[in-house]
Amino acid sequence: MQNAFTDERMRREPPYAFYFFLLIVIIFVLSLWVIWNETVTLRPWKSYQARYYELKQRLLEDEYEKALEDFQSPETQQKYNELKALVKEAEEDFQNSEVQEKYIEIKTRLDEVREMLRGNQTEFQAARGKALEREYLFTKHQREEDRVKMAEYEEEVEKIEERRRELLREEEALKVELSEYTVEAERLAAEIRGLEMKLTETRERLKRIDGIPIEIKQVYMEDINKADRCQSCHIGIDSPEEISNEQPFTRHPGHFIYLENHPPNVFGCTFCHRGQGRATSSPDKAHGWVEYWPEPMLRGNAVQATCQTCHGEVQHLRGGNLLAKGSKLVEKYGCYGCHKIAGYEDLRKVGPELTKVATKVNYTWMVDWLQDPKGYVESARMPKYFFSQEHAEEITDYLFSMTREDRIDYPVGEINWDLADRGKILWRQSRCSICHPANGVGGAFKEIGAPDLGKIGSKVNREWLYKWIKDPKSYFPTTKMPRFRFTDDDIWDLVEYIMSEYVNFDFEPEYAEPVAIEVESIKRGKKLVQNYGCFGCHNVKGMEEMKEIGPFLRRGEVTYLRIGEVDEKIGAELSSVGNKPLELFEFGKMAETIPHDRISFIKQKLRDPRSFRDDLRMPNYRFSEDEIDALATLLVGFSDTAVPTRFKVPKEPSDYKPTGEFAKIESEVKCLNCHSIRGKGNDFAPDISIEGSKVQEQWLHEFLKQPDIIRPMLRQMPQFGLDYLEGMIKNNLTYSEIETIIQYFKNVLVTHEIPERLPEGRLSPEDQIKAGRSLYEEKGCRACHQIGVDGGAVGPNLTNVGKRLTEGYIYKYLDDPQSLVPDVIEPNYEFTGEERVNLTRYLMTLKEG
Amino acid sequence: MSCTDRPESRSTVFSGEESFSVREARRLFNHYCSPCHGENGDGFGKYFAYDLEPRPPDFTVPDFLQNRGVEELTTLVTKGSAALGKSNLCPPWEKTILQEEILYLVTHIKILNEGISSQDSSGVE
Repeated sequence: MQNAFTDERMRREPPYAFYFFLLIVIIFVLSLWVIWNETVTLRPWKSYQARYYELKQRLLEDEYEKALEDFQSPETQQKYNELKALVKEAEEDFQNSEVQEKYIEIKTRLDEVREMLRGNQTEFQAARGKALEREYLFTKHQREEDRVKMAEYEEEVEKIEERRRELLREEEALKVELSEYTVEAERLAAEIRGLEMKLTETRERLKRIDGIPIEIKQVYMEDINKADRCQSCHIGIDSPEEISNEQPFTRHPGHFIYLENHPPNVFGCTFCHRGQGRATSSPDKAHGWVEYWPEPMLRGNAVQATCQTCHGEVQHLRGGNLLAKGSKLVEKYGCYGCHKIAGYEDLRKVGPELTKVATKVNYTWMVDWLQDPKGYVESARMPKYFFSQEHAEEITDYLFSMTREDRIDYPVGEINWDLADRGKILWRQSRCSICHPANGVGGAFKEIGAPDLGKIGSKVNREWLYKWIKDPKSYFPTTKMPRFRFTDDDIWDLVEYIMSEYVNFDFEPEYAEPVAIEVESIKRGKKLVQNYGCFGCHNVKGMEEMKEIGPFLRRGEVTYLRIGEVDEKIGAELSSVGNKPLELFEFGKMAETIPHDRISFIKQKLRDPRSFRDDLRMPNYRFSEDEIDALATLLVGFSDTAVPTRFKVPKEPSDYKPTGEFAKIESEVKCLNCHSIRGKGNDFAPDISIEGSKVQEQWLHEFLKQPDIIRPMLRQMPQFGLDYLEGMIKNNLTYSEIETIIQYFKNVLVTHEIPERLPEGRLSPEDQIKAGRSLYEEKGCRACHQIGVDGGAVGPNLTNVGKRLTEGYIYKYLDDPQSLVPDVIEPNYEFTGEERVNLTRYLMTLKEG
Repeated sequence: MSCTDRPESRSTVFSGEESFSVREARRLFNHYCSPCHGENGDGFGKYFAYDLEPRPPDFTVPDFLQNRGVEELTTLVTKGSAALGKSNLCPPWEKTILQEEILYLVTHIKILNEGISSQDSSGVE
């Protein structure tokens, strides 16, 4: 019912219709946005795939154009038309009535023969049936008539079979005749197809692209519930050819190394690259570059870090050079001394023995060294602890107090030049400088970590040096230095020479020796040694098995527990630093300066370990940026990701140990410092695992007495005994030792793969030698090998190879060098057996003297 | 696509991040070729290659690649220099080095010739 009041009210109320309309519009727009977001923005892989196929199509179209152009070029067209004309001709010939008649005749005959064959088959079956029936009856009842009938039927079967064979032969002949009519036409047709092939192929591929659906591409590993969807955007990663240079359409770099061995459809991508495999809504999410994803994706060189998740052996992996370098650095610097690292448990401490260091060095040197090792020699491996002078003195006091033995201090003083001159010759002939650099010069064998001797005379005293050269293990039981067989006089000569030449002429002792040491100072020094964990790299008496409670548990005074009570080392455990949660890394003062991720932390730690906080203890190793890269790559791969056992490639254990008498010699001369045997040792010198089969006994005898030059400079074997100028052999690798070595080689270090003797060969021996010589010249072997003075010095000198190597070894080596010596530069020439025999015979004639 | 903070990407640009093909090419060249050709490709291999007659050619000369296409170089490395009528001192490498690696080596020769610093951080092959 209308009344003035309600009308009034209605007129005064604002029109809500407008607002409703506005809201509707907003909701509508929002819905559109939602739909757009869901289907396009959050599904970038759709546009990537579309673009990829577009690019591929364009590429194929270009190929098609090119193929068309080639096809339409005048030469091809001419050939094409020629062929077509020939085909036409052939067809016309065929249509000729005579030919047709003949053809039809043969065909008819063929049909007849086939019909006869079918009839023959039926006959055969019937006859065979009868024969078998009789056989059965005869076997059952043993009646004579059955046997007779059986023989009859079997004869019949024979005849039918004979007939069958005849018919088959005729059929064959007819078929051949028939095909002669068509063979030419078929050949021509094949040629025509060949010309058109590229065109048809490309056209097929173009057609196929249209049909490829745009969808998520996933690799699902059921047993570990891992789903990788990386290939939805990176479609071209495993394609046989490069479609484009832009990301994400590129092909995987080093496809033939990485993907051939680890196909993505089996392994997925995230085992190696890390990242968030299931994400598809944006590149950053998929790469794991978001706040709470614990394993962000690795790029570039850093991907090598994850190889060690499956591969136990990292030092010889193809495509894993940076990782191998990092691993070698850990072994060189001995990180495992202070940090617990799974897989590096049983390695020796890298620093020398400190128990009797008081007998070795002088006080000044020690104090200076502790404050700055690289100040003494640039290549020092010991890191810098930034001790103050006072602390350095306290530590030295403690270390010096550990032994009661006196240091007999000869100041360098007067040099006896007679001895020194003889010592110089000894130095040269023993080739000390192969391992030991002097002031940065020499020391070709870097991995061995031998100290630089440039200023050794100012560091040690004569008495100690004498004892050391005489028997290194009495001072430092796990040293790598071999025991040379010098006489006492020889050693004093050598010592005198070293003291005369390898001295720091500017050295001035700061402390008047012997230095008075207070007991308090010793106590403080001991605390410092325990606090900074010198026992991680050095053997310190009383602290051999010492481990310290980890930093987290430390309260004020340091407490020490023996092994078995707690299993912590002084440094943080590194076994899983690669996937330790980012929150547990203490960025401290560097939080603003470096990017907030694992790799940056590790690198900064290596660059400047104490930069994060004030009371950190790790010393500074002064690594170069390259070394930091290598170590960071290794460390970021230390993780405890679960990997299915079927993927694992465990390290092949090398449990080779020298045995018997040879073991005694080896432990003194330390052959495995340079050589490797069955996986143990180093690769500075050749592998001698099959030396018994490889070299001749007489030559080996001569060589061990006096190692000669075989390979290029800088890699000579030292002489462990010595043939003096006067021709007196004193205390060499004695004859019995040489015999032991040779017997060991002949009996143990052999292989059956190397033949005792060469195969015969077709030519006479003289002709073989001639053929071998011309082969040597023809293939240009002198580019790398020397005979006499002619040739290059890349490979071993061949002047005396006829006396050195066995013919069986040369023969086998020429077949496939890389199978005997992996990574050798010698190319595989694909010689025939004959050529190898000839070349070997020639090489065996090369003998010196 | 999106411009969110990418912490890892900043730190993996190492001192001169190079693509795999460039690094691998250099490693292969230094291992197999540099004893005679020298690490710069100038023909002065460290093992006295200058005593050889004829000397290895100097890759760094600007017009070295003038008349030598990629295919010719690839054939030369694969089949040996003798196969192209030159001296017999560079052996056929086809059985020792993989075909893809030979392509890398040829690219490396080009890099040595142009003397460009091998900086290529776009992840390109």
